[in-house]
Amino acid sequence: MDSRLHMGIRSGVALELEALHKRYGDYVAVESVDLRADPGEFLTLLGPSGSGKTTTLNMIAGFVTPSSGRIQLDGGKIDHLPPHKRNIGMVFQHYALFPHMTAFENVAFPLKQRKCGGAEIRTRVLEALELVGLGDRAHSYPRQLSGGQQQRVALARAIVFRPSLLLMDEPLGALDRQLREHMQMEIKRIHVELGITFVYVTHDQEEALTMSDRVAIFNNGRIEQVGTASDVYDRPRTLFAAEFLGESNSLSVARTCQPGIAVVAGLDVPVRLPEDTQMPAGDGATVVIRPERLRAMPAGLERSPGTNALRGVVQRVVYLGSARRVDVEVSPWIHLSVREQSGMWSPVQKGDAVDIGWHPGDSVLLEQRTAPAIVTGAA
Amino acid sequence: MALLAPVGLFLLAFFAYPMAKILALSFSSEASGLSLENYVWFFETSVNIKVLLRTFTTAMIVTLVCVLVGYPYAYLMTVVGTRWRALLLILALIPFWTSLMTRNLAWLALLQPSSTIATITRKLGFGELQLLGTVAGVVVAMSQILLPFMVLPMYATLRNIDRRLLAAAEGLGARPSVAFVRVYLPLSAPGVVAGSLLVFVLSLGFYLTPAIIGSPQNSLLSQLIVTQVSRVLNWGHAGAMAMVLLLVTVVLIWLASLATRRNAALTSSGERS
Amino acid sequence: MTVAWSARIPVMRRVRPGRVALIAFVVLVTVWLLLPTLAVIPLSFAGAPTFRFPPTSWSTEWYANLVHDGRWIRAFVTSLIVASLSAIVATVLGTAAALGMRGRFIGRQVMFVLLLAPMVVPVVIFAVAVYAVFLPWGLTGTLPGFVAAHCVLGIPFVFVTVAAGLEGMDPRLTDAAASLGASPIKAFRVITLPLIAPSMLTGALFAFMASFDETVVSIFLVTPARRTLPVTMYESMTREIDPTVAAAATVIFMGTTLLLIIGVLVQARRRTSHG
Repeated sequence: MDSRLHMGIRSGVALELEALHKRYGDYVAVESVDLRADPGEFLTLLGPSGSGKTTTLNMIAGFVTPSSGRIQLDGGKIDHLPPHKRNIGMVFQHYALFPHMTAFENVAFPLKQRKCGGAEIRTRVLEALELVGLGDRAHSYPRQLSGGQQQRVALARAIVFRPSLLLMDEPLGALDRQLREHMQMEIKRIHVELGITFVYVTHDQEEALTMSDRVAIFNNGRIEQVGTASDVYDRPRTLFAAEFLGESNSLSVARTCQPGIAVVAGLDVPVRLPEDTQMPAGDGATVVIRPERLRAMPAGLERSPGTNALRGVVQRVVYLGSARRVDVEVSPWIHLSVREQSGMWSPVQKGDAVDIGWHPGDSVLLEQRTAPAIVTGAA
Repeated sequence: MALLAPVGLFLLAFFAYPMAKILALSFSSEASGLSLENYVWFFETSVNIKVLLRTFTTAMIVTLVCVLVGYPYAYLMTVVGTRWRALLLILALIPFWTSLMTRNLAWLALLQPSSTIATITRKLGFGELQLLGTVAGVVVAMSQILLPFMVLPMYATLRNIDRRLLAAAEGLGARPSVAFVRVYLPLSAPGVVAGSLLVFVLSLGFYLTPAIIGSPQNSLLSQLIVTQVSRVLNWGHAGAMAMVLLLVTVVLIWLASLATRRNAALTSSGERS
Repeated sequence: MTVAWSARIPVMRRVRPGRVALIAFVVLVTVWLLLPTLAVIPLSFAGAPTFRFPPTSWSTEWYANLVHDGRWIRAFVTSLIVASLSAIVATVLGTAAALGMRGRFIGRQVMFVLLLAPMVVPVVIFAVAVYAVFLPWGLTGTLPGFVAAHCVLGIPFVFVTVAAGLEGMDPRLTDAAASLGASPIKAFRVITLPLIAPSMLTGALFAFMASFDETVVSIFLVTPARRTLPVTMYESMTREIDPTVAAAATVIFMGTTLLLIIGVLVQARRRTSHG
């Protein structure tokens, strides 16, 4: 059954941020952020702490006044409106449930501010609690609910008044892994059911990739890249984006001799790039490849033509459960990690000489110089 | 700002201004405008110095009594079960919710020469122990009244001492008594210092108990100040005395805050490692 | 209750025998803490006008005296009015201070010192200072004079307890209320106020007790026409030997004990009803 019709929620609106700045004295928290969320889109602001993503969210909600720039909702400016007049739903990091009110009273709160009648409040609150699967805990106080249940109340409270935009600030940060994964699916389901625009803040790249239509990667108050999950993961445009979104191997490029070919610094080995690669004008470039795109095989075996290959020695094999990681030393200053899914392990062991191969289309050339130590990215 | 303005103005008018007035009075004299003559008078009059010393001695003895009584009490609070702890806490707090005048009255009665305490000491062979009107009587009553101020900060510190450290010290070969002296005692020092300073500072400014239990011959500084105001009507002298007492109090509190801050720094770095 | 308590004793016995001495010591301390307060009860039934303890003869004349001598009743009423008014004013001002002191601003440190200083300055000094100022202002012996002076002593208690209460409150609750459509005033009324109400109540109680028990400042402020209960007790103890003061002390003691028991019961009930 379509509860969107049932709850009478209109579909989402477009959110536009134009040249948004926030300065605190000399400290620049957010710098010229331009961002647009389409109606009904699930947009995630991803970045490490202090990257400006939460400040941006707080500016949208109205808790932080921008130093300059514009915020538009559905084509209309909302900069001048105080938070309580913006009609934007928000789920807070630690839920911010009112401890002296039951789940029902919490969810009824926004309706009471909007002077709804008692009968209407009752129907809509119970509907919202049903939607998040908490219909039976309406009369519990927040402290009597588990973390996941509090999370659901916070969600119900933020959507019950039918906002056309919902902001979520690290809503799953306090939950344990299993519950977090479950809630991710729940939030996705509610997003689809309601059809409203979601702006979601997280520092968890996996969460961002699984849930979002598009991801905006924040770093040092700026947006590094905006795109779909596969865009930002497979075609990062900056070194930061590549490294923040999971493990990646980086190879410093000494020079680019001809279109589609880069020479790895210190090895003098040419590496093929995707055919449509724009070759950099100056020097200082890096080739980035994801560990799961690399293949390790015993040295000396014939390889398919057109693939890239580097020879090295296996230093370490790390068992990861569903996969394993093979760390290979190509030269004293070049190390590569290969990720092999369980069941697809190559027959190499620690100490073996190996050839590492990959398809040219899996390498990404970035016009930035990487730091000398080579294996990067969070485990 | 709108929230702070009323309370700020209120305290300026009814607290800061009167205090400033006393300060001004202490530097004024009938003859000339600004002068130090009140302070000169204070330190040149031997009675004043005697009273000042007596005030300090009394405060020190009261503090010592409170430490000796309060430490084992606070220690016991940390080792018993929850129910006993609650009971001990309530007992320690009793003086807080009985009126000060009630307790002063009780001591006035108990310390009468014909009352139980005097009778008991007589029977025990201490002879005629004069308590009412003496410093000893004042100390007995003041220590009882001030004990909670010693026990509470001490308990707050002792509660946070990890008792496994004692076991660890014993495991490393220390006798229990040595472990207690070398490990537990130093860790409890901040609580002892905090409680002691609190009790000492409160004792310095105590007025009612010495006025009721003590005697004019054994006055403390606070009584002297009141006498200057209500009998001698010399505001300058009273002001100078008040400022001396205030200065000592503020310096002691400042030292205490320094000590606690240093200690907080010590514990927090200890936790990190 | 007794069963449960005796069940805990083996836990204590588990440790060294030195504990027995410790327990004996605590019993003695308890007697020292408790007995002086209880001593006023027999004293109030003394048969002769002495403070001798224990009394040798008994009577109830001091209670009769307490009721018939208008001095005591008037003092009691005055104290009650002064304490109630200063508790109310101190609670309003102290709560505003606690709310205003959140966040950072220039002069915060100075304000902090001003708010807590009345707790630190020896009362005698404050008493003399207030007297020096209230005398020319014509505030001695007046209701506003008593209330203003007692309020100064009560504000730090309210400020400290309410500030602690605010500390325990999630600072984003008011943001949440705003995002849900509540204006700042509404958010304060329905979210902040109910959540800090218990600490305001505690602070008010402290301020009330501080005023009701206050003697030193009042000694300077009283006039024959308007005196507070503690000052009346003080004068009765220092100027005459009249066990009526013991009767008054007993009544106060019983009153505060009763209030305390009610308070504890209400707390316990609220805790169980909230689950």
